[in-house]
Amino acid sequence: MRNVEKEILTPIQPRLRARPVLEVRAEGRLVERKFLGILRLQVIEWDNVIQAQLCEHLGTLPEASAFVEHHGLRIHWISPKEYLVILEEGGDEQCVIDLLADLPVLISVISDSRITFSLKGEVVPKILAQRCGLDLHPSVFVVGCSTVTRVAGLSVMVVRVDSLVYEVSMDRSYGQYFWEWFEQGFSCFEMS
Amino acid sequence: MRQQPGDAYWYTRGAPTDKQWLDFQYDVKVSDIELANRENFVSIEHVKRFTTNGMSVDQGKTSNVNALAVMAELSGRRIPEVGTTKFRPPYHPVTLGTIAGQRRGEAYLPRQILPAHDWHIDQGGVMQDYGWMRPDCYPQVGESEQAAIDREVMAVRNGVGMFDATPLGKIEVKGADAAIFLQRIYANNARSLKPGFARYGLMCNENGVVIDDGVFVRLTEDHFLCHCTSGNTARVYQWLEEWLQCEWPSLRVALSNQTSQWASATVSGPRARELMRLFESDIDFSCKAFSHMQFRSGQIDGVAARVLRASFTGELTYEISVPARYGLSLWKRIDALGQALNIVPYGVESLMVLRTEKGYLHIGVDTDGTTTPLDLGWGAPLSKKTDDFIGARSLLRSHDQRNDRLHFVGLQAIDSGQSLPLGGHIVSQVNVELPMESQGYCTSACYSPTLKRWIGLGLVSCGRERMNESVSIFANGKTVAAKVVSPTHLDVKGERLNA
Repeated sequence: MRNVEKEILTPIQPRLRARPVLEVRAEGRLVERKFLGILRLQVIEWDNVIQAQLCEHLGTLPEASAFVEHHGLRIHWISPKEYLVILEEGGDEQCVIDLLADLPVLISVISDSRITFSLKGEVVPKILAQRCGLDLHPSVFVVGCSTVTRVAGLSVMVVRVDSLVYEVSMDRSYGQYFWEWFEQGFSCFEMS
Repeated sequence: MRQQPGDAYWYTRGAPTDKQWLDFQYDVKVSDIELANRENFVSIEHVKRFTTNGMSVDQGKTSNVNALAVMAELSGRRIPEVGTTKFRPPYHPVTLGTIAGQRRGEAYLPRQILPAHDWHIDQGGVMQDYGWMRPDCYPQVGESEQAAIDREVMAVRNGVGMFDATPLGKIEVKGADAAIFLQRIYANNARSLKPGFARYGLMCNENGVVIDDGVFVRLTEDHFLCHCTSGNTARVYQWLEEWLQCEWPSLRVALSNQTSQWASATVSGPRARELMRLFESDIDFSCKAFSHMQFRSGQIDGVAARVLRASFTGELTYEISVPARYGLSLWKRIDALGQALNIVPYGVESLMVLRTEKGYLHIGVDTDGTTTPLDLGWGAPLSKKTDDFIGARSLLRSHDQRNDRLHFVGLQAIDSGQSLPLGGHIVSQVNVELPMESQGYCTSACYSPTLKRWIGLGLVSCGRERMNESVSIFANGKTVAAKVVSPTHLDVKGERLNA
């Protein structure tokens, strides 16, 4: 908003502005990944030609329940014929839209509708597993896995980025709820 | 030492196969797959239908994996050769533990937070859990909630008010066949809508019963924005996906629920245009350039915005939407600019009074599980639609065309100070002797600060033929005298709306 302080707020601001990182001892860490560019990519009529064209523009597409990274873009498999393209903060969403403009693919910018948290620590899968039906055992949900499932009663995309680093992404309006839910999860482990 | 996965173990060979279950929901056993194999079923889709394996709520991703693996072994093929059935969500099995989970106090149930949540709290908003936490009204110091609602309603009727409309459902429908898709979804005409224009739409189920309503906008030839009831968005989205994926998969359409992507603020009242002109914008807000039920995209104080002229209050209204990250800024900006016009924030309860005065129905409140568009008085517009739509056939049934069905009407208290009982039954006698036949019921009731009397809406048998008829409304052993009137209690000609 011009002429006034233009506050660009992520979902958990300003309520949690004073405490942008949730850290409990050295066991775990929760921090918001701010202002990612997120594009939903839906293919209406899937065939080998479309697949080849998408690969040509975006690089190899991920297998089911996985993600791949190419040239600063992260591409997640969401469901048959649907992918999520994620750009780091400052990435230009319009570049991707222009890149795919000639393809029979529908692209929706959903950057503002999602909140993404980075979760770090061995305790993370244990906390998520308290209300998640997915088998998050490190030998099953390996690095590179990306799945939309149900966590804490929400539709959440769970991603294993690195051996100890996970990311969860959900509707922005649930950001505060998830933060509080996860915080309580931490407290369970503190008590033990 | 690195762990190695074990061999797949689909069933126990040599043991009775009629005691080895593959589908725990439909009790399909290994012996059923053996029978299918003996019957020479080859396609796994046929095996599924023959045995009912995977046809329960898991939709195949759990039990069909077991079945196709057994089928592969019995038929001497590899699993990829047998293939898979069409899996539907959930793509990954969901356990009961995920749904039930632990009790965690405040974090027990998910709740949605508005971008301007803290502003509402700071202004004394009485927050209510509607799934979204939303303000009902904003009482000032020493003011009762009823007084606050009356004040907010009068501010909208006489000046300008601001309402946080972020939860309003926003589903985008894109693709070459988007218009055809919506023509089948809505009871009224979607295909004739021109880009930049909006139209009110009713959605019915297969029985012709109204399940949702809202304003839909044609953004471009192949791109629509469909608004739906705030608390019904997820259900409507699933409804649309089901029809698209299961009934009309050949349509070139994709759907996206964009509700949280946008923060929406509604500016409503006779001075709304004055306020809109205070923004730095490339949009012409004059009535001539931007009339009721039109849509514009442009800049609002340097932010890409969508503006819709549609109203749920009966007043001149602009609904402004910006990317959610700017939601609080937009809200503060409207408040700051509106101070010169004595702008007042109004909440959900005040909106309910405003829409009742205008006679706008609220699906699920003013309708029940039997209400059709014909009951709502939409017979004439629908008769002009020649294309098929969901529920069209049902509306032709004689039962749906009976004259004694419950019609959507207005109700007015005879004694202006007498409250109308919400949910009270319409009866014809003052002194009720139970049992007595109910002729319908009062679906909405409120004190109208504009009309200085109690008013309501209701579903009344033969209601449209009973205008100005005196009735009694029975509740809790008492009756209240009322009159059946038009649902539109205020501004019948729509002059305020179209100003």
